Parts: sequence; C-alpha cells; structure tokens
Amino acid sequence: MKSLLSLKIDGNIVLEFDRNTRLPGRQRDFLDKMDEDMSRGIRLSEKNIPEPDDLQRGYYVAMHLLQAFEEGDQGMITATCAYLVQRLPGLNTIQVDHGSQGINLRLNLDQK
Amino acid sequence: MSDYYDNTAERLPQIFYRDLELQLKQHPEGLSEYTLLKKLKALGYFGFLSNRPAKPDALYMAHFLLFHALYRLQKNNYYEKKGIIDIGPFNIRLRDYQSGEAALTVSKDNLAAYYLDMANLDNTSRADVEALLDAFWREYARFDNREAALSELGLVDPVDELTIKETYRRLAMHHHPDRGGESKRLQAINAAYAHLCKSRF
Repeated sequence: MKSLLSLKIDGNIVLEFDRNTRLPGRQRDFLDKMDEDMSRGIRLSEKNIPEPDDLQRGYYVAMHLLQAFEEGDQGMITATCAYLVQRLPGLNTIQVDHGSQGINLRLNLDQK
Repeated sequence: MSDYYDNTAERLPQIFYRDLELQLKQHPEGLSEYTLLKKLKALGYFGFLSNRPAKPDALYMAHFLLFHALYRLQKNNYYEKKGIIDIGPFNIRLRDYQSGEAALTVSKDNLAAYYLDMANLDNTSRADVEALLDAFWREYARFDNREAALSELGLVDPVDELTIKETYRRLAMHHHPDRGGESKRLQAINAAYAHLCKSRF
C-alpha cells in the first residue's frame, strides 16, 4: 500500500496526503460526523442515494475534496483526505479529468 | 493560541451571534463552513484572516470560534424552541424547531463539548495546528509567488477568486490534450492554480 494518497488532475498530481498521519481523537469524531451526515442520504451524479455504501461515500467525499481544492478550503481538504485514507485504505489516487463531457472523477483502489 | 484576541467577548461579541443567525436564516438550504466564514469575514469579522496566505493557526482559530458560536447558538435555539441548527462537516443549516428531534440533535453531538470549551482553543499549540493543516498534505506547485502564478493564467492583481476559478476552468478545458492542447501547458496551468488555491482564504 502506498503511504500517500494523491489527488491527480488532468494527469498531474496536485496534492498528496500522508496516510500514516495519526489523527487526534477530536478529528476522528469529525470523521464520524461525516459518516453520520451521509447516513441520512447523499446526492451523487444527480441521484438520491438513501443508504450509501462505502464506495459511494468515498465518491461523495472526493467530490467535496475537489470542490475544496478549487476553492482553496484547506480545512475541508484536510478533513476529506483524512476521511478517504481512513475509510478507504486501498485508495491510492483520486483522478479527475476535465473531459468534453465535463468533469470525470475516478477512485483508483489497490488491487487485492 | 491567543495571539489574535485575548478577550473572549472581543473574540465573539454579541452582535456576531446575531449576524451569524441572520446568515443561517438567509440560507435555508444551508451553507458550508468555508462559505459561512467568507460571508462573516465580508461583514468585518475574522480580520486576522486578511493576511495572504492565511496561516494555519489563524485558519484553525477561525474554525474553532465559528463552531463555538454555532454550538452556543444551537443550544440557545433549542432552549428557546426557536429552531434546530444542524452543524455538519458538509453543511450547516438552521431549520424549524421540532421538539423530539431537537433534543436528539443537541444531546448526541460529541463535538459540542469540545467546541463549547474555549480552553480547548487556548490549549492548542501552533505546532498541533500546523501538523493538522499544513504538514499533512503538500502540493506540487512550481510557483513560489502569487504574481507568477497569476501571470501563468494571464491575470494580474487585483483579481477576485471567482475570476481566478473561471479563468482556470476555461484554460484547463481549452488546453486539455483531448482538445488538441499541450500537456505541458496544462501542467503549468494546474500548478499555477494549485498555488493560488493554497495562498488564498
């Protein structure tokens, strides 16, 4: 497993997050709160998902990471990266491409 | 961490709570912490965020003070049966009061106790915050100043965030290899935008 989670936009790594970082207890509570919020249902690709699974949650959080990156919201970048490395330990890259159809976001997971 | 304000009342004057509640009422669909902070900053609060780039400890202080105020407002709204404030990482929202639900919202939040105790802000060291916000992640930007990064996008100060974002999107689409653009140019655009993202609040 790679020790860094990468955000790659149009083929370029724009940020990396160290998955070995130890989170303080309060920060873990914050991640639980993210889960709690998502357990009430999320909207993903214009569809309502009342009971999202782990991967759907991952996509939802990754969308927020991308938005946070575009806005320069450092707090949300940290929170979303922390969530992704904790909840999807096999995730190595979030890949974003600006294609002709709009933005395409993919989560690249390690092969088991 | 008390470099910015030493006095609790100065940190969050009473009028701040009124303005905060007003912002929540003006956005019934809710808004993110980042958007809420920006709106409050535009009203003259969180002046310590005006340095660019905002320092990690300043960002953390703004976050803590906002959440402290939100949880206080949440409790007051609950006791006065005025409304329910959902305080979430993705969305912060004020909605109509419903008795059973309100009790559940206020009582089960593990973060409330932390943010309601101002000592937790004062006892958080700068090193703790830097470890959280800065050292955790690093970006791959080859620009060491804002002027150079803006220049890559064809912009010069003064320029607002919306213009930067729209220009970035337009250039990224235009120079994408799928549309006949050069990947090196796209890399430079992405690196410039990454630098500008980190250097603004």
